[in-house]
Amino acid sequence: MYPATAAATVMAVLATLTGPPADAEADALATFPLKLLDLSITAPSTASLGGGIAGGRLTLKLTTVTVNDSRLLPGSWTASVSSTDFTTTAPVRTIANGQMSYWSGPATATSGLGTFTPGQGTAADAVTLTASRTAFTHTGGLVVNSASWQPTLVLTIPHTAALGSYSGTITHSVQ
Amino acid sequence: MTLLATLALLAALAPSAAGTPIQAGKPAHRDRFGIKLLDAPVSRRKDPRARVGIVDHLKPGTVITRRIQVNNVSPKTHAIDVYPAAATIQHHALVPAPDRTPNELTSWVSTEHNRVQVPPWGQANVRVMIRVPRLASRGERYAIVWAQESAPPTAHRNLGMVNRVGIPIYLDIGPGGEPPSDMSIQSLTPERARNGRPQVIAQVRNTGERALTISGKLWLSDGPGGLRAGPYPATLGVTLAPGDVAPVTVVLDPRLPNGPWKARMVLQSGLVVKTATAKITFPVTGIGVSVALASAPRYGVPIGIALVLAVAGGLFLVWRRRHRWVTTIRAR
Repeated sequence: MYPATAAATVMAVLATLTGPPADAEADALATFPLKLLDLSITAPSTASLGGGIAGGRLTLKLTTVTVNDSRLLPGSWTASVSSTDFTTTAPVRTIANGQMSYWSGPATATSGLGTFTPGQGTAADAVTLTASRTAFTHTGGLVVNSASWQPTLVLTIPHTAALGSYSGTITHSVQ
Repeated sequence: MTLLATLALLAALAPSAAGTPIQAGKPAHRDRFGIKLLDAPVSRRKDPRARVGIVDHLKPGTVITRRIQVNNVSPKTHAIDVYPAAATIQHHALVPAPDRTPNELTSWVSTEHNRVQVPPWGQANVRVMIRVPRLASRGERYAIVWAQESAPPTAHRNLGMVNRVGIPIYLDIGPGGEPPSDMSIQSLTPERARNGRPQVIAQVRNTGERALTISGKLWLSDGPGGLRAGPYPATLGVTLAPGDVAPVTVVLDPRLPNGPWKARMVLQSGLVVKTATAKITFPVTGIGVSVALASAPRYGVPIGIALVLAVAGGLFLVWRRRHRWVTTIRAR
């Protein structure tokens, strides 16, 4: 065999052995643009829990939360709610998030098909916010849908709570 | 275009007499913000799950970029934070971890911006980059890319609020090609819910190596008087981690007679499709007779025979030894 041909053969074999050419790798990572609409939630706003006494209870109706799902897929979304502990500025005193309970109440408005399930329909179903809880869910047809609910927070102040100005944050997460 | 058609078109385009926006009749507008995914892999063009979230199978050492968009549906500029946080599959659903809890996957994810100022009625595109380390172990991980707005507590308003919307990430790491996705429908159980509606519950097992998001339909045929019904959609929202077993529910029309019916259930996750057929009868109340569908293991019968033979053989040997021993004693 001529040296040139031999060299060419060796090069060809090496090329196949060193893996797929860069083009194939790039093809595997190629993307195409999606034309979807979004999953949205109302902007948050602060509220005033007001004042209370140790051993007392504070109840607050939050501003209405609305979730809009225009994605058409997957047809379901879940809104969950969590709370931080409530703390004062230094010297820091804490009221644990377990003292805070939440109930979503029924949907105040819905649009689109599917099943809308409030997390806690009535005050009796209220859950404590020691952990993240389900606030609202939607499952069902591949349609544009939305749900609104006006949740209620109930803070049970421990008997041992020290005087102070406590603040905390409630988070609604939707996906 | 005819004069009439032109007039009709102009009438449609003109604002209404009161000057109200097109969606008059909806509740009073409140500021809102949203998130959407802008890219999906070409290789997953037919996979509906790849439109829901960032779904991929990558080799260690790979870097991918996906774009997400944050939308502002309000007349004011809003500052929106964008960041990844951990998620897990629990109780057959993707559950976000609180706040900015990190996990292994989030340590690989970075966003082009941490905070975007989105103009009124505008959008902001944010690139999300995932860098898989060369020594990443194989397996599937989950996280969520969040678009978040915060209203922190102030001196006079002590309850702060944070709202966020997210796009899930289902990322599988491993050399070579995508690991298999598969599921098996183990049984179909007819039930009557407390509200009187008939339901069919399918027990589904994730027998593959990637999480599944189940959707599906049920058809009924060969019913009383030759009736047919359906298709009825399965309740969505069931996400199964590999090895998980979960019920998938189909709620049917309350006017259906009890049966018997031939039920055909088709369940799907992405490109995996499974069908199960069974003869069912809805109970008057409560849970009806379940129909098991999972086939017996193929090696069950030969193992059974082998066991019986082994036990028989063992017993025979024991009997032979005893007999010989007795003979030996007598011979003395």
